[in-house]
Amino acid sequence: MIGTDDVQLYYQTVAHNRHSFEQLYDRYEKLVFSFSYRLTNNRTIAEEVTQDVFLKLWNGTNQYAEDKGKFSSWLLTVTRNKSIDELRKSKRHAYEPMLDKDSLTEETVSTEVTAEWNERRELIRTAIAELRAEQQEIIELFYFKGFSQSKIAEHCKLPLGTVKGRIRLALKHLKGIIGQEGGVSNE
Amino acid sequence: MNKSCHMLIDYFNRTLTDVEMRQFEDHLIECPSCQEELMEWEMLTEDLPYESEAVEVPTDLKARVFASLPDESSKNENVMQIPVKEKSRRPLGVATSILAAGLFASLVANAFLFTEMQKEPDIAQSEIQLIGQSILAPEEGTSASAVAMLIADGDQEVLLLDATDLPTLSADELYQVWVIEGDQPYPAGIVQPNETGTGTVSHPLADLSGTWDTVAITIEKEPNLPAPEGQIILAGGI
Ligand SMILES: [Zn+2]
Repeated sequence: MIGTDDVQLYYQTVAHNRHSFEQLYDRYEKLVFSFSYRLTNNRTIAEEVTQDVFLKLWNGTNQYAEDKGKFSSWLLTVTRNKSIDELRKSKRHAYEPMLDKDSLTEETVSTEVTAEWNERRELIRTAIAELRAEQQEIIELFYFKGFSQSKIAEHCKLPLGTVKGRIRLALKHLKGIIGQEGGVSNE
Repeated sequence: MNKSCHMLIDYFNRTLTDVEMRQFEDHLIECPSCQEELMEWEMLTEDLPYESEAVEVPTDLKARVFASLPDESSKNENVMQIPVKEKSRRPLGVATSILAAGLFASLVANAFLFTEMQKEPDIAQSEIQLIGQSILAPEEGTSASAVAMLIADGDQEVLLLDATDLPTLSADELYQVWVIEGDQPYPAGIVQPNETGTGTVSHPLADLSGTWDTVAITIEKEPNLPAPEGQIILAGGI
């Protein structure tokens, strides 16, 4: 498993060791940026989010602790939170997110993280493709679009009280397929 | 099941108002069932970030992040502001820019300026210029790469070098940096790579700011020999 020294590098980063911070940065920059872009479809926001996530790591505003799970999962949660906050803020100010499909390119640098990421992406995409369309949609709306329960209910024409159960079912189904196919989801 | 518990999904998706958010956070502290459920949602979604397509990161993003790090020494020193002379900056080549940008930010703002600042409190007035940079080409049989940059701060010139994928050395070997003027080499610092083969060095060119035009890295048994004796790993013009 990659990133076995993430936690150590994190603590060195908090102690303002630039070299450790740079290692963490290099390891996760592309994943954080790409994930934020996936959520916002906006390069400007993805840049702001990436800067914010790493700077708050350095200055200790976002604090990781080992009881929060894996460092990488925590970092991605922080990235998602900031991304959906920024996306909402930009929409409140009525900026249209720029559709920027041209920037989807294959990677140029292959690191351990990107290698493992490529593998997982294939696995997850294959698994998602096996879900029914309704389940695919509810995952997209819930996780990637960050819709509220009531908005999901409205969008999917579901009673509000059933939304949470539907999301959970879709995610459990997905997790099950991923577990069968690759067994990497719980490493 | 408390009336707040149903807000968990909206908390997870951050669609609550600030007031609701704080209310829910208070609730979360004392509701084990919500704590457990939140962990369940995190577990159920932990694979999903990896579904993202890899997109190209802006080449200067790293430089911007590292340039905005507050400098440690500024706590008891003058304000750190480094005006970079715009007109003297050469446009970076596409290939070098990603490495060079990061190198410029992390090395200049970090190692070099920091040491300069110790003896030069009015660094705020100094002018850092990028004079030239180059990617060193690996010799056959290695995948190593390095970027060398020549930086000037006033009269002082410094060679900055950032190498990656350096092959692991045996205990009695080291990586020597050279600047070469015609056929005359001068030692210009030692790279000490970390366990992943990455290493940086900044070397003041006090007596070496002459007309040399080549930078090279060799494997040597002893530091700062009069001339390279070992294998050349990387070399390039600057
Ligand atoms: Zn609760």
